[in-house]
Amino acid sequence: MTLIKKEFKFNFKNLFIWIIVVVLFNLMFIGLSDLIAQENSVFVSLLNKMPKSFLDAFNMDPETLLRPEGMLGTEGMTFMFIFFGLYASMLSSKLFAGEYDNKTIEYLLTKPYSRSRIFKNKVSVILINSILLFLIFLGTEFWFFNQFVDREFNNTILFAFAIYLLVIELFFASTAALISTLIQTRKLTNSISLGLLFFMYFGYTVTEGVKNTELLRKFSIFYYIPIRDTLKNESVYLLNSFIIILISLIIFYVSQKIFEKQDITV
Amino acid sequence: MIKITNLKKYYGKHRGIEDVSLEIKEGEILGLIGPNGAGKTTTIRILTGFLKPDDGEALIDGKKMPYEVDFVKENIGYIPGEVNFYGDMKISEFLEFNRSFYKNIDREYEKEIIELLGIEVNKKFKALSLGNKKKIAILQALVHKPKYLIFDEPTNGLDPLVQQKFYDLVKRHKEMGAVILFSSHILSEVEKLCDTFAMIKDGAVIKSGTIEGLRDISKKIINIYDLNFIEDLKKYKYTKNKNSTYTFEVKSNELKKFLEDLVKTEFSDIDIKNPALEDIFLELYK
Repeated sequence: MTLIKKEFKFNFKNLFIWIIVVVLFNLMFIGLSDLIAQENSVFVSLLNKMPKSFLDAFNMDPETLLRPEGMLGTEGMTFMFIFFGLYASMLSSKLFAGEYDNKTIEYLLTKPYSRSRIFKNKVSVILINSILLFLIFLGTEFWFFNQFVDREFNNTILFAFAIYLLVIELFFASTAALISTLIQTRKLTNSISLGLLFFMYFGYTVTEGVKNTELLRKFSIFYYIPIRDTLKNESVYLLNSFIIILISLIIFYVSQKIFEKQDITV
Repeated sequence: MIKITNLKKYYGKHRGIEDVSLEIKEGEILGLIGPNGAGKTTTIRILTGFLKPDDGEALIDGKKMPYEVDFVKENIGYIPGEVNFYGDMKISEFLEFNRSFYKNIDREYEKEIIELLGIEVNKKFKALSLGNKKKIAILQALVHKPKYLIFDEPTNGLDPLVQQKFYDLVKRHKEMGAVILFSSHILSEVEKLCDTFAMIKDGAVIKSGTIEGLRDISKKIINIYDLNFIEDLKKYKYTKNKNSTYTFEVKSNELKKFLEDLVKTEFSDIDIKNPALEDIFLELYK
């Protein structure tokens, strides 16, 4: 059992639970999509009477709600962003900060693997698990849409939503890896990572439309992959996604360099 | 060879070690003795590549630690002072995991250590007692027959029977030409097993040399009850307590002669103790 196999084996239970959560969430929302759409005309006319800032804060756009893929922009479905960020942060902190917390880092570092190899092996496990969760989401999203939605829908938007989830996973996994190597305790890493996730998510959604918070919103990655605008304009923010993935890889690289050089004082 | 020269390490403002120098040749066991907080673990952590020294040099096989540790890792066996492995792993899984790090593991030797130490392979690591965890630490350190063995208080938590088996294993590795650093705060253990010693206090080596030199410093505290005191015992340092009980301080290298003198007279009981390491250090500083 190599390091990669070991990490994969001992983190599979968590992955499995998250897969079930994601599949059920998808099933619930997509399964009800057509039903909600039938009742939507009344709901949309109600929404049209509400203040724009209120609708912005809850990610509700009356126009897009009339389309089947519009449900991807509802507050409920965008919670998936939090789920994916949460999963990636927790996995990353378990793999990195967990070694310091359990003091198993001592064992690992005396074995004939270089620090760089240990780090890369762990990042590989994060990438495999993240991509697996993304593929499961993508697969079930398309499958359930084809199964339960009778109206025509935009495949590109479905793909964009899944891509954004992968972007979020990689970004928060990399920041958790960086925080883990700097702080070396799992509880604190989790607190900071989740704090960052919630700050970015709610900082972006709640302040939508508020002009003097525009600068603050730019610190959130959700600003660069806006699902509402994606739905509205039917365009995917692929370049932004690519840049955020690149930034995540740079954060992983910086974390690796810190890990390679730091004193181990557990 | 392991060679440490004027090693210094501070954790911020706190001293780890101030000036540590020592040398261990092939087929030699060096006992690193010192009370808690003396700097034994810091020295070991630099050797195992966990810490960077502020000054001085630590070499294993001519490679500078921790910067070139990857060149010698395959040949290092390390028993940490505090044993921590993966709690949810079964020991059998752990052995498989440990094997994956090395190109060739002698499975027969692995089996031999398992049987010798009485390791239960079907239990999870978190279900093991401290002594049993220590057995796993011994196994993973020795199983790949490394040339460089670094032990940080390895017998803590082991019962005397397993301790003896461990000493036998260490002696076998010594015969194979291993270079062994054995950290301990138990003087008698070092006397029994090591060829050379280095005494460390407040981050600096205060005395080092061959084990015979250590026996000159080392002593036993011997209480003799209802002793019929004779002239031959006068040459030893002693105090008389109540009820004809005498307490002698006898150097380890004079112990045999003392016992020969003692059997010439009558007494009802005897107990022999090792003085605390701190007391020996205090004496060295007088």
